[in-house]
Amino acid sequence: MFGLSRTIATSVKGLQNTTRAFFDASQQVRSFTKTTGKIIPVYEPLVKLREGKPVMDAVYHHQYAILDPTGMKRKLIDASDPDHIRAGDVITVKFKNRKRGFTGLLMGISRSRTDTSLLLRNNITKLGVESRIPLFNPSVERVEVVTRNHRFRNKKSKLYFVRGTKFDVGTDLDQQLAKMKKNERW
Amino acid sequence: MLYLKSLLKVIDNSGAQVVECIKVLRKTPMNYATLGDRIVVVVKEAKPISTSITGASNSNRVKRGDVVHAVVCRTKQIRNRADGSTIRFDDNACVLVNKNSGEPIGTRITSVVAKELKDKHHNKIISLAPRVV
Amino acid sequence: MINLWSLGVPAKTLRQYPRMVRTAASLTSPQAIPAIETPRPVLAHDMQAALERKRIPKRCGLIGKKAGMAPWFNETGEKIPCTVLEFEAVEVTHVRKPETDGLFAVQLGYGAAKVARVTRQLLGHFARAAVNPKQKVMEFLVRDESGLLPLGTQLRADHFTVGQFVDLKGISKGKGFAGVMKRWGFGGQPASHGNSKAHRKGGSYGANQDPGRTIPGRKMPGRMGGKNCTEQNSQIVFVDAEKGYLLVKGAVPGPKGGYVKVQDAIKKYT
Repeated sequence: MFGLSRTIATSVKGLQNTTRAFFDASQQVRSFTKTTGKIIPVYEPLVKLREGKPVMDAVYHHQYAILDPTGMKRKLIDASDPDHIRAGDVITVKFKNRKRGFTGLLMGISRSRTDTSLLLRNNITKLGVESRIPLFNPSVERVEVVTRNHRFRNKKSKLYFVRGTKFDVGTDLDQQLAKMKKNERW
Repeated sequence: MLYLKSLLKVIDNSGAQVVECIKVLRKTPMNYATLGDRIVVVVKEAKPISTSITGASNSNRVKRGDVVHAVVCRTKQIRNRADGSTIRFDDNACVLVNKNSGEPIGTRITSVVAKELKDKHHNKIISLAPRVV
Repeated sequence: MINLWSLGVPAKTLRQYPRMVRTAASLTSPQAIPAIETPRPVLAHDMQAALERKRIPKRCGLIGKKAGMAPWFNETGEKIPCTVLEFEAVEVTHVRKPETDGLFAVQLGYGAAKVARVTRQLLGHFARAAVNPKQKVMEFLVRDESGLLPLGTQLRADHFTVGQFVDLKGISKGKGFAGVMKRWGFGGQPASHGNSKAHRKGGSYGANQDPGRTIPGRKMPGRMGGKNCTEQNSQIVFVDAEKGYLLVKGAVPGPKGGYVKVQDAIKKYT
């Protein structure tokens, strides 16, 4: 079945274990009985993988290399970076293989390494629409910042309270953006 | 999550304004309707039939108390998508459809609908909608 | 039943003891087929028969450690929640054969234990396989001799391939003493309408005088979780043997840091 040849290969490697260094265990073992009789050899453990570092670090390191090779997405949500996005910004998420991106008010970022997602709110055909978009999904090509947070004065990291209030998104930001771009061209 | 007694907005020009769900079709009894599901509804509020409109859109109009089929187009309930994204609308809305053919009763759809309708083959609604999210 | 007429007892004697005579017709029909002797069935209550009935994988599995969860984006852009299983120094410590133990099995050890905390008996056990003292020892049944491995063989994450299915056995998270609503999913009782202190109770435990006892198997409150739990047919999405981990689709029983037995899925490959 799977990896039978590999099993054989590892078994040959395994036989080398007999040459592993060992030492007398009787000095290490705390015992109430006399341990003068037989000397038990204790073999050295195998070399620790990843130099003993946590496995989840290796997982995320590998995932970042695939999903965000340039570090652009990580920089975007890094609070120490001057250009990072934060709740209250208006942003556009552009997708691969899709014409239209999703523009909206960034209501919050749920940070969880490669599972990080952005919660966007827009007003499409006079109706509030919310979408949570996983930032590290390869289909997310780039994130464009339309306006920086100016209404909320950086007080809250999650803007759930805006729903149905005077702070809510009033117009279709997508249309507004298109109009702005058109005017610029003129 | 729409089930018996749920009130929905109607977003087509069939004349109905608000409908009430009385049955979720093709689901287990304990289940609920979500995006793209067929439901049976009762028209609770409708626009009065005006004499000025003529043609197909007038003959297809429904009135208060009618029992019709509908397709759920928007939900307040968060819907997860396969790519890890979610979608949520601010209201629950539906489009009235013909009981037998599944085609929309109205001729126009006024506001945004969800992409999930495409998976359930409601292509007519998708093509009529001004925006699909 | 003895028929006195057939024994040739004289009629005189019968008259003396009329109550002893059975006058009713015999219940056995003369046309009845005599009983056919069938071979005595062999009772399969021994271990050998039980093992033959069991679906046992051909290969031995691996001891894994649950490290956490991470997303995985596949080629079509779908996000799949995955569990990370870690493999640190998994080596064969013992092999069981039918001559001595009545079954084929491979015993594996995981990681490295502090020598001072291992008993002398176990130190001898590990020394025989020429491996270091292990944190955790688990045993994997295999179908036949081809599944056995030499002592001291190191098994890595690439024992499994991407796309294959595995069964994951672990110990579920303990929930403590749980009521019937949490433990068995009972509906509970109404919040009002005269209900008194019985909102989350299970209701009746059975009938009255007949049967006069609670039927065995009745679902009641008690310890929940902390039991052996198997997740079948989980697909492997990524393997990294150098870093010593793999990603498996979906959830895995047990807490982070819990040990999990990973073996080829019996319902797919046996």
